[in-house]
Amino acid sequence: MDPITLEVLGYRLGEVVHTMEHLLFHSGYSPILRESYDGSATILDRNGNVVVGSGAPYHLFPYYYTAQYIIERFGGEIRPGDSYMANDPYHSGNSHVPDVAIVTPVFYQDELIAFCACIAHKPDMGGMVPGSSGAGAREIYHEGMLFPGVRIWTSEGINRDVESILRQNSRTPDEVVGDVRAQVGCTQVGGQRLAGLCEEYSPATILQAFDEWIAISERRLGEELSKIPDGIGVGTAYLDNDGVDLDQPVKIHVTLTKTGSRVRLDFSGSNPLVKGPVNIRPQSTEAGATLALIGLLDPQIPINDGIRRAVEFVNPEGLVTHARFPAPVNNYYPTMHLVNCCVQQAMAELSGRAVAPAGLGIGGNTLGYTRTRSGQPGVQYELQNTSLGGTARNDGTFGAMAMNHVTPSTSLEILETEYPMRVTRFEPLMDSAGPGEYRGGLGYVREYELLGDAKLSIRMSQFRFGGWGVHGGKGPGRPAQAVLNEGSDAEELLPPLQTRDLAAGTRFAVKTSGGGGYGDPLKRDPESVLADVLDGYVSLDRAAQDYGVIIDPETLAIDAKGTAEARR
Amino acid sequence: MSWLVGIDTGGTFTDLAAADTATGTIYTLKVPSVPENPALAVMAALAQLVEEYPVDWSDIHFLAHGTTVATNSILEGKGAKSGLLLNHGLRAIYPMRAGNHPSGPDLIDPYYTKPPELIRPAFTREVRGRIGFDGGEVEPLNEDDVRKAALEFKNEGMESIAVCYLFSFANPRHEERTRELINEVFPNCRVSLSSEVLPVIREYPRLSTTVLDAYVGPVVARYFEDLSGRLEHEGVNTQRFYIMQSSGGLKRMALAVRYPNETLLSGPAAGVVFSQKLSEHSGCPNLLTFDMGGTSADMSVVAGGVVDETREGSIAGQDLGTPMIQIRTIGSGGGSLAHMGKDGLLKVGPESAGAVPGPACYGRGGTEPTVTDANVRLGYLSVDNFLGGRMAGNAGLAKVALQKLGEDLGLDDVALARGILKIVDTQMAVGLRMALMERGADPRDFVLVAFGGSGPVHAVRLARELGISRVLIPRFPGIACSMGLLNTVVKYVYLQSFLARFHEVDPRAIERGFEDLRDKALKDREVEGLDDDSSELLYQLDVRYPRQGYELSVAVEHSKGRPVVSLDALKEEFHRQHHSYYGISAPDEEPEVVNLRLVLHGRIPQMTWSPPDVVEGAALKSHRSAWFDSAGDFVSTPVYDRVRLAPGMRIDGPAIVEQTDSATVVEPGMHFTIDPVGNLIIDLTGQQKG
Repeated sequence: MDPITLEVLGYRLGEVVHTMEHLLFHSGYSPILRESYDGSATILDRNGNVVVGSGAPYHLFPYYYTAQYIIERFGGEIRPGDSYMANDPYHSGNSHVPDVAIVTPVFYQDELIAFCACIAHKPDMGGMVPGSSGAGAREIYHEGMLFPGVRIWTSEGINRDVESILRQNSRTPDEVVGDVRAQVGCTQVGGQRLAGLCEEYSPATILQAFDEWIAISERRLGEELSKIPDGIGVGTAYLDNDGVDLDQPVKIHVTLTKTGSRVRLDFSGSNPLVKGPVNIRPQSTEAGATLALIGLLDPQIPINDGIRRAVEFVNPEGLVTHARFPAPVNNYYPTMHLVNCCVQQAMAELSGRAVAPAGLGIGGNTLGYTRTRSGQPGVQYELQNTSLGGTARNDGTFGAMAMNHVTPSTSLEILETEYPMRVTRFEPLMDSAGPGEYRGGLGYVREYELLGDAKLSIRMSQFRFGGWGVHGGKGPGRPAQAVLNEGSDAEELLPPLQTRDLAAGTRFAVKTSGGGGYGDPLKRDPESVLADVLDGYVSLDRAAQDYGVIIDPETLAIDAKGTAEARR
Repeated sequence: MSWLVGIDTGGTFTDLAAADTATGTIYTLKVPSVPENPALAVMAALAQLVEEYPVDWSDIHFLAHGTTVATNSILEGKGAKSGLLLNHGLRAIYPMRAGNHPSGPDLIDPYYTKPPELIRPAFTREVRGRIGFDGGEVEPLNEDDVRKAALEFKNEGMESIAVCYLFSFANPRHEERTRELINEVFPNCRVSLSSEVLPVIREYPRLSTTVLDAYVGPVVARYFEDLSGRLEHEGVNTQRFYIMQSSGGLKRMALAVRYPNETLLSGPAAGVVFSQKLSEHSGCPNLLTFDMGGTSADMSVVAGGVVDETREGSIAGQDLGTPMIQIRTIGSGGGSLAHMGKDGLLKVGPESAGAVPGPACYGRGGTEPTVTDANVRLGYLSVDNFLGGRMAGNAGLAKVALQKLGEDLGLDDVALARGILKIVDTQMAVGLRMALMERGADPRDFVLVAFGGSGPVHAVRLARELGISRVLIPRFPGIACSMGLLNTVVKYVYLQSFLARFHEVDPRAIERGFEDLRDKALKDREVEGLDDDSSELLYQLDVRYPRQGYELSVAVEHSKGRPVVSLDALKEEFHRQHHSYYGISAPDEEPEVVNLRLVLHGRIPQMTWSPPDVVEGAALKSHRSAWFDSAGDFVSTPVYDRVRLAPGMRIDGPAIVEQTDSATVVEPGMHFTIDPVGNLIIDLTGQQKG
């Protein structure tokens, strides 16, 4: 196809997915979707390959498996007006149970030409705990109801039988059904827009454009890979534990072999499957790994299934990176993030683009109240951010999700208005960043004082093993923490996966870990170290110890001579 | 003689429009902007007006000014040295920038960074004391904390202080007391209180907006003082000196200095206001405005004569929550550069050739083809008409640049030029369709109003792309913003958070809340020199369905200047408006009130819309060869002189209409007419004469 028409169709297909994404986030019912941006929209070709996507980038890998299941299962029975619902990590490729995908086939003149699909995180899909993601899960059945890909919609409208099952098994039936309807609506609009494009350009042109966009991503990734030398890199990191065997670290390991325009990622060295819900399915491993590759090589490369063709995964079943049925997988994000960090590590030397890892331990906490300000029961669910690691160009940015740099952070005023609690601390933590010529972003503390009784669920990780520095940079001194009643006699450290009843008056704090540092801290510009001291980011002691910058505690001026000596 | 003058400062040029209130005569001119001191360009424009036209300094009885001084101070990082006071223990609110949502590659780029804070943590002090969610005092204000901080700020040489405490919108007492205490130890320091700047719930946007207020306030004050001194020196003594706001209205300078944030996104707002006026004069209630200049295109929606509004703006990544006209900006302009992407496809923008070197055809050293070069190659623009012939151009250089890139892509220069335009038009069409989709509207119900130097060149192709059948090009498309300054009202918007479900609301509480807003409005109104006859107060509630992330403003009935709250009627109206805006509504859901909103509109002199002064002589200047896709070839195309086109004229396409600041392209099979006030109206439906 000529380089003009294909470019124009790139904009037009982008418009279709952005339209779907907008409708998803604006007509969805659950605030989680809006506050956390945990949703996405995509167009797949008729063979179930992602062509173009929009929204949370780590969602763009599961779609392929979802579509494969539906094509295989329903084949010739796929009819105009159908929409399929899928959330089963084992059969339909979702990362975890709350991520519900809707897949709608698109027909043009009776011919299947594509699928429009979207994923949105649901507030509750049933299971052991509110939110469906419990620390106590030991098999997938504990994590809520499973839909491997069922017809939720036909030309007649919603499938009332499936709707009843959904309603009776969710703690938030209105939000879940409302969201599903919005999801179907947005994929239907996407389908209409695609049919309009077929009308304008001919279906053959549109199908060809799908193929060429997929080929472009494959070729672009291949070209970027070709620019770096062939070789082998390894990455290793550890999860504290699986939430069950508390003394057993869980190893994530990758061996990366780059040959020409291809790369092989071998996860065989990772820990065997574990009992707790920190296992992940291969689609999550692929997402974390590929986002690291593209992020480092060229984040402009469109994320679609062309990328699969340039990357070979060796990831046998039975590993923590390839969960075997029916292992639990709900706390997938921290493990996926470690996969991402390991691939960054493995690429550092080969690509010459080392970046320090974002703060580890990313997760969320839920406070369930029997009585909120409105008098009704309610659930305060919050994702906790991390901060990015230092790079050869900049300090790590403060307060961004790893692998999807949005900042979900609910307004304190909204929280205090809705829930019986007060936020007593929300501040960056001094000395929490990994030192380096370019330091990591800082960790922060967010502390809540309960004004009513509540049930707390925390779903975090990495309270023991923190991140690391690269090229002479250092890791953040302190890993993440969750602590009750800090600074009082009743102070208590909590494990990263925990459900607890808390009484009114209790203070609960989350302390996130900072990003790792890049480069030798002794090379950091002393003026930048001084600025960090004045900003309260680095203490005088650590300025001297980590950075060799001596600052007079009275005048707060740099002692040039002392600094020169300390740095010698 | 009494002249109304509008002056708009732009990145490259400062534009002026002057209107005689008695005769309706309009003069326009452009002078180069002076970024180091924009006042110099303002004075130069006025001096040129006085020199070239029969206007005396003392005849200027009304001056409205659109300024980018505040905006530039942010872009260049040259705002005031400011301090920030916030609640003890809550420093992360600012650097966290809740809700920050990067797009595209930034989502996964490990090198991504957030925009820097305008006030460093080193200049942030924490104050003990808390107000609760219901406005009650949880912990008293620690006055020593405030005094100590104020003294430190004084010693640091701060020019301004921003104060943002939690729930100050519900109870401003701690913030107000803080200002008193600051003034005791640090008199004359400018203090920005979040409870005055933006008294609505959600601490981060309120904090960011308050910080902007503190950061740009002193800069704006200095600029206004300097400019008024210069004007006074020349004998311009009018009290009617107004500053354009991002809401599309004006504020008298003496008051504008108190609301410096509202000038921040005012640049393109004047053009939208002008379009809104066009909508009244042309009988088209639904307009899409399309303002395409050298580096970007601004687009907005006027539906039913009403301009879309938003409270989510940002400038260089700094978030701004004050109400403003909703404008979608994309990086497509005449100077956008074409190149081959790493994927082998033709790319246009977002890099721009800027003013220097500019497009290749400017002959200032540019060698890469731009959108303007493509327009020259296809015959839509003539190098002989750049700036009405005052700037020399070279069409050969455009061709060379196109050929060079064309070789890489396997295209000849004409095919490449067509491709560049197809891509840039697609970018803009996608932007406009997204803007309409977001509010549930259909492009076919709209008229496209095109202005800016490049807007009229692209208007017809864009309209075709969108399925729009009418295009309107105003008389002076290159200075639509200056014209907008002569076509608007004084406008103030007062907000107050008021969160409640409809069934829990006490109508009296709403009325009491409005009383407080009314007191504020009446104070400002007096300084504006307005009274009951020359102004009106519009009472509105911002309403949404529960859990929605956006709201609509619903008008509250009023009687004798006071609101009369009827909840049932308001609820009905909200459902109706939601349906008309988004195409859906949920009549079974109980909506909720989010804010009280009071809008003050003041009538001030505006230009009169009268028939244009038509220059005598034949309108047809020449013919030139221009490419049209429908012909599949270059076609000899008549070129008309806009100033010689009289109202009532009707001309069939193909045609090119030239004027000093732009050129309009009309394709074969279409025709255009000139309306009574000189607008050029293109009919795309292909109806022939007779």
